This record gives sequence, C-alpha cells and structure tokens, in this order.
Amino acid sequence: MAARDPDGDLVRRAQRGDRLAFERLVDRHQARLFTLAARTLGSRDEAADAVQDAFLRAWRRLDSFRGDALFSTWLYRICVNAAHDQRTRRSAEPAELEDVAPDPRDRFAESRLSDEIQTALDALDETQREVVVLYDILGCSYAEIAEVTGAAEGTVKSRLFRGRTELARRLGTAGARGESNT
Amino acid sequence: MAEGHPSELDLLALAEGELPGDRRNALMQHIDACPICARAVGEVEAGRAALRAAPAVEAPRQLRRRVSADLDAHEPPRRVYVSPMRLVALLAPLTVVLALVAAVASIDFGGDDSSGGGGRESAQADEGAGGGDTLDQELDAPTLAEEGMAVASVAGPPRQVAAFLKSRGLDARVVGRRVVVRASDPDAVARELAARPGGPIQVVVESP
Repeated sequence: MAARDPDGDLVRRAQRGDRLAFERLVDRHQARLFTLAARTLGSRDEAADAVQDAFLRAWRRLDSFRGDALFSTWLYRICVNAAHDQRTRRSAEPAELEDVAPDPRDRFAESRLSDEIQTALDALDETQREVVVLYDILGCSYAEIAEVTGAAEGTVKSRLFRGRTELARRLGTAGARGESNT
Repeated sequence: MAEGHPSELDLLALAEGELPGDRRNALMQHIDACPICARAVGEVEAGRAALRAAPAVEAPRQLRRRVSADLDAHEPPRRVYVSPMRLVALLAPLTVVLALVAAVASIDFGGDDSSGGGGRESAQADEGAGGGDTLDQELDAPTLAEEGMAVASVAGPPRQVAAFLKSRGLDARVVGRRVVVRASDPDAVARELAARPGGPIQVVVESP
C-alpha cells in the first residue's frame, strides 16, 4: 500500500470481500470520478456510464491493486480508460442504427455539457484535456497524472502548458502576463 | 517555443511559482522584454484561472444506485491468505492427480500432438467485459513463444484493445485472436493495460 494512503484501511477491508468498505470508497470518490469523466467526455450520461463501468472494473480487479500508487490514482486511471472506451463506442456507433432506434449520439447531444469552459475543453486534444482536468480541476500532482496517463512527467507538463494556452485562446481570455490578473 | 526563448516547461514553472528566486528573476527579465513569452505566460495563467473557476458537475442521483446494483450482481474480490502448511496440504492431492494425468497422457493414443490450450481455458473463464471470443478460434493461434513476449491477457474484442493501445501511441495491431505490439517496452505496455478487465485476449510485444 502506498505510504499514507488515506484509503488504505478501506481498500484492505474491501480486498477481503468487505462490500461496505468498498461502498464507502465509492462514496468518497464518486463525485471526483464523475467530474473527471464529465469534463473529459462532455456528457453527463456518458460520464455516468463511464463511472459506473469504472467502479465495477475496480471492484472486480481489486485484488490486483498492490498499493504501488494511491488508490485514488488507480481509480482515476481506470476511469480515464473507461471514458476512453465510452468515447470509442460513441464514435463506432453504426450509421444504420439511425432508422431503427434512437441514435445514441442523440443521447449524447441531449446530456452534453454546454457551459463555455466545456466548449473550449471539447476542442482540445484528448490527451491535453485529460491533463488539464486532472491538474486544474481535480488538483492532482504531476506525478499522479503521469501515473494515471502513463506519460512521463515532462510530457504531462507540456500537455498542461499547451492545453491551458489553447483553452485561453478559445475563451478569448488571454492577455500578456499581468493583464489577465488585473 | 523558438530558439532564444525559455522552454514551455520553464514558462509553466514560472506561472506555477515553482522556480527558485534567481531563475525566476532571469525569466522575468526576459519576459519583460519579450511580448511572445509574456503572452504565452498570460495564456497559461488565463487557462488555469478558467479551469479552476469551472462550475462543478453534479453526478446524477441514480448513479450511486446503479453502482450498488452492479456490486450486487458480482462476486466480491477475495484475497485469501494461505499458510505454507495449508498450502502443502492443499497441493498434495493435486500432485497425485497431476501424476495420474501425466501417466495417462504418456500413453500413445495415435492422435496429432497439438498443444497449448490449457492456459487459454482458464483465461476464458476469467473473461470480464469482452464478449463473443470463442475458445475454438483461440486454439488456432500459434504459440506465443514464436512471436514475442506475452505481457497481458485482457477482455476483448481485440480490435478495441488495439485501438486503445494505438491511442496511447503504441504500434498495435490485431493478429488472429491476439494483439501484437511492435517495438515497445513490455513493462510500458503492461502498465497501459493494468486497469483493463482481464480476459482471453493475449497482448504480445513483438521481438525486435
């Protein structure tokens, strides 16, 4: 177990099959996982599916968690993968479904987040979006993000720099240093 | 960033207040005289401010119930401690059974000698989210030792696994019922797949 993992005790109990311990872990992390999924996918419905999938994967694979990283980092990694699979499914939906059933892409449109920041986030490269959400919205460290994304810390920083600058340009809020803070 | 300008990482560190005083002062001198870098740092700070002010996205109430329903439907994990003495007691009968099987197998029944299916069955039994992968198809595959190092066994379908690895910058392709990754560090591939459900799809790193 990673040193000082605040989830350590609950994780050990859950690994012994304690369902209530895992439920408490779900309660602790659900909101942050949902924020991560919603801001990377841009859709509430798809985020809910991804988070549900992520918790189920975590429950079924809990015995493979060795504590090399924080439990929360492990969960974020699972959630990022589940969100990626969700996005892959969305883009792989066959067009012929349109005539016989409600198009899942309509469901995406109905539940999509439409605030200004989300519109700018949606325009970012997927890897940049993951990093800015993890760093600036969830408050993860560079090391944690490197663990979650499998990228080197230098790559994480570069994605953060480029993601933020692109976002600022799209929002039209950028100015020279000093101007933006006045 | 063009030659003569600080790197992106330096500008980010400046914006984050992570630079020591002397380095910070040197960069600030450059930025005072360089509108390109001043603009870049301004954008980094503006992007950060916008992200940190992003409104919370509240999870739907039914999500918690859906997660609980999933937990109801699946067996809890069990990490069981087995003492060495108990392990010996458990393995002793198995050893006898294996010896008998070996003895029976040594009798020549005159059939062909195709091999390698035992491990695949257990992988199939452990399959998670992947569907539609049949054992028969897997038995047609050549042995992994001929093609590279097996680094993981995950849920399919193989095309989705390959697409995921490609999205992570790896040169992955589907070969039969396996996913073959070219010229990659096996540990890095295994790390990418660590959080995926286990299953029957073998992921192999090709020998250089």
